[in-house]
Amino acid sequence: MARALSRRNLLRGAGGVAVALPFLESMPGARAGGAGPTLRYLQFMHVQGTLINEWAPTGGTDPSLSAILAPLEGVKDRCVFLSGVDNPSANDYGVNGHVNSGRTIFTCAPNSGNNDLPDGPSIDQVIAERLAAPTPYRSLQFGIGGSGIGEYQALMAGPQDPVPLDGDPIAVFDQLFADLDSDPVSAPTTLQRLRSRRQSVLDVIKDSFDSTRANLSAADQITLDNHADKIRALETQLGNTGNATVSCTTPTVDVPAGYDNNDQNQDDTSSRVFIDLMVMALACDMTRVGTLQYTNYHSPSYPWLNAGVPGAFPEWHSMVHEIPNLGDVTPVRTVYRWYMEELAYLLEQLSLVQDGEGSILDNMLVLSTSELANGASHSTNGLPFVLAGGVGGQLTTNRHVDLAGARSGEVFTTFLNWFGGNDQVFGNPAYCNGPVSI
Amino acid sequence: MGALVWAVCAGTGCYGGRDGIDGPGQADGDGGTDGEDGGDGPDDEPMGSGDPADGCGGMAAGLAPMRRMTAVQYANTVEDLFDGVVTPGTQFPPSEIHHEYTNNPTANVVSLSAAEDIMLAAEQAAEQVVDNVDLVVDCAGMAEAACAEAYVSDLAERAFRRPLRPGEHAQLMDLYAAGSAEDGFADGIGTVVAAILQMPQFLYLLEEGVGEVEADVLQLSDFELATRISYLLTDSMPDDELYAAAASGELADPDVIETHVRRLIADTARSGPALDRFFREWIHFDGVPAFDKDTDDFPQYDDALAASMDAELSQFVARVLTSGEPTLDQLLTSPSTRVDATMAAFYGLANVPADGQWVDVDLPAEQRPGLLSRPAFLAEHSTATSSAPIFRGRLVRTQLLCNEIPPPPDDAMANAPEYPPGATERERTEILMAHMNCGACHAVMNPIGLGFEHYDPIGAWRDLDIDGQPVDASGEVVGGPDEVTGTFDGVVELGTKLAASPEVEACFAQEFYRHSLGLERSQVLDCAIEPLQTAFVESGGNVEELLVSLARSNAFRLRALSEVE
Repeated sequence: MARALSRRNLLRGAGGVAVALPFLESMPGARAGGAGPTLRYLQFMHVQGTLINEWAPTGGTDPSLSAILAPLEGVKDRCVFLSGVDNPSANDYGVNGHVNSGRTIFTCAPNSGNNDLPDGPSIDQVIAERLAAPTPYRSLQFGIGGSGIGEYQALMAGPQDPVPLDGDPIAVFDQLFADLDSDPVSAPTTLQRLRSRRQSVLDVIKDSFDSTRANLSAADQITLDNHADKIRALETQLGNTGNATVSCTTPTVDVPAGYDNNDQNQDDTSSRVFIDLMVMALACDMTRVGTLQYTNYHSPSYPWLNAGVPGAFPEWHSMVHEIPNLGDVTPVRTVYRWYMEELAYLLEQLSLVQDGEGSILDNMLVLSTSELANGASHSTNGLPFVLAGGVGGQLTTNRHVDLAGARSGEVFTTFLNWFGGNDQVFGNPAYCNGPVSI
Repeated sequence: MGALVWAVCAGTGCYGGRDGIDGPGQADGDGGTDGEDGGDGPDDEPMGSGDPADGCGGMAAGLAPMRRMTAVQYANTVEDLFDGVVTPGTQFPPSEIHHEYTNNPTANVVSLSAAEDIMLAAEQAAEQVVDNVDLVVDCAGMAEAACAEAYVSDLAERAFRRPLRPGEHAQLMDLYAAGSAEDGFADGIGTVVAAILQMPQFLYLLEEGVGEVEADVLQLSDFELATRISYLLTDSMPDDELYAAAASGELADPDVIETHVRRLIADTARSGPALDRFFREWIHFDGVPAFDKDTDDFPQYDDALAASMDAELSQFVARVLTSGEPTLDQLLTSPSTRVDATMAAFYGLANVPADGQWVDVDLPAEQRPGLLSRPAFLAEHSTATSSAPIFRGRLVRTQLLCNEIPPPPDDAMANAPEYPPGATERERTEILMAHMNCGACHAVMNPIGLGFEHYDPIGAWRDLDIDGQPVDASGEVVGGPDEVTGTFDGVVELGTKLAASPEVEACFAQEFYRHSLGLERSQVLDCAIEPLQTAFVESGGNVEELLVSLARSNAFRLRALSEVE
């Protein structure tokens, strides 16, 4: 099956079906050609904060986990729990608590122009650009609960350059894994024949951008140039095949009848399907950078938890705001804990993907956080950061570290250094004073 | 009149104060928000572009940042290009809503994944052309090569919406030659199609102009003008008649423009959905699926009812626009709509149409006056369980009065008041208004929304409130235009007052103008919008006349170049 997926990668490529199957037999195994481990980066963004006052583990090494973090017990030795990470850039955005936090959580850069998108780029996109991995996709980003995010446009490739989420798991499966059945060489389909000529088509498109821009205004040229840049990046991607691991197989997308990916009350199904797709996309080296973003923060009622949410309140969001007056926070804790169950499942699945002697988790960095720390107050101080993975031996896990007011931009600067940079700042420098020691 | 962008809140917000917000709601002793000179608060300055009077010159030209086709426009254009043989599919990237309208350029910025989706959509269309090439290309009596030459010329000219430039035809024929050499005629044509549908000449509504009428103000070419008209009125490429008028130079005559605008409006099969889309985006309606409502409280709100409500919104708008009196007044007051069986049952009508039929009905005028009483509108501006006067009031403020409502302070929700169990929305509003400083902003929104209390969260009429007492639907507009300011009883009176207000007409004209070119409010220049507002008011708020005067205006026929930051 791994071979079929590799063939699929070639099929989408600018090289097309001219690349015959025998070539595949000589492809290298699990690892890219260069020295050192293959680093990967994955973000897991849950929403509406947490019960931050009870969230933190106790102890430093081999910490004792709180009730909310308890689902991570089985993978605790792969994690580092960070207390005291603040995102002050959210406070200077000036729209509302959700826009402020959602759009700065990965960018650390409020918007400074006449548009309400953040300045960007987000940390995942910077890492993807730095890695410049030979993968079919520069990054993949899935919206669990639908792709409509509006206020929570968290991922940015650059200023005014939002990165949209894919919200339909069936469409994602079709794009990444379907179309494996027919033999592209002896009996190509119409679509496969068209794809085999992608390079010629893209050449014409690039030429047309060049010739069209000449007679336009400066502002129009900027718009077209941005698009043309994306065409060139796409062309590069299309030529990439990645180096699938031995664990690469076609995932199963199993959804119940009546499944609607936009129905926030089916997020339990969406969550597992998208986690499986993301894990396999990484295992098959379709990308080395990913984001899983839960998109519903307002009114899911989490029916699969039977937790009594939203109880007497109009919706979940109102309930969260009323946490200080709830008395019994058990229902809220159950919801926040569920996100950690999903994170635990993700980490377990990553640990099963073989990469050389170990798993891809050994060589990757996973960041889990919410856009908010305290759901009730919508505060962004003390974000619930969980790091996981060994980052190729650079991160010692099974620890709780209190960073005591370090800023998220500073943590992200540390990330960039792990990924080979020598950065001293990430995001808006007003919120960053160099990397921190983790 | 002029560019209507001003804040209505007091100098301090709900909590902790907000700097730099001032507005007539509190600052003007007389409560007048007449908006002369574009409002009188600091926030009325368009962000980043300086004085709104700048940049117009003497020509009343408007800004018009370059737009890419929306997803809807792409789908329609592909259908038109191939006479319905090709089904566009859903792979093309969706257009986000940005500053109300999906045709805003920022809503259609091309990300890397969008570039791939555009490619996949183009290939899907090309695949259908290859597999149905005999339906798409008529080669009767022609050799294949000559047929390909002719078809590619014709297709590209229609796709680019202008005659081809030197080099463009040869470039495409090279692609045809490569494809046909490997896999035959159909693949050659399909390869050309895959390219055209990704080219900037197709995807962007390019406006190079034919020279400057004054510094930084372009005169659009007739082809560019035809494209503007066509995408505004039909969300698709110019039809043959409009294209011929552009090619012959006739569109230079405003009377000819008017003839085509009226002709396209009358073609309701094409113009209806495009105009309907404006109304939906204007009132922030993007659909209320069944799962958006609490199933315990509203078990009747199922997929079928949600779909019928959604469709009734369009039926209502279409009936107003085709009534012979397509006015803002009718839009805000008319009890005439169309219903299917589901909506007839929802409204409690005795006569229920056959399944699938929509029939004209006049609903009780005291219950269902105009757009603001449409169930779909009301369901949209509610929560899952509550009628949400704040959302209904805010919508009136931002979309009918063109006010800007600043966001709540970050700590607003954390310091929200406590409400006793079972409190009505009116009681909750009273508590909120008295709580800390919340009334400073909520006074301009919630009291308007209380006038909608006869409608529950799915838009059904109710006589009794949740406490079993008769609904009190008295509301108040605080600090609005003189014709609107003051107390009112229910949506009947609110709609009548709004419809009679020149300010509301001016706001509507501004919103339609913004939609016509995908503009943010900060990009509306006074000198461009004021003639349109004046004409709209003088026409008695006639929407068709607004479309005509817009298409004839310099704001639409010229293009003031945007500054580059």
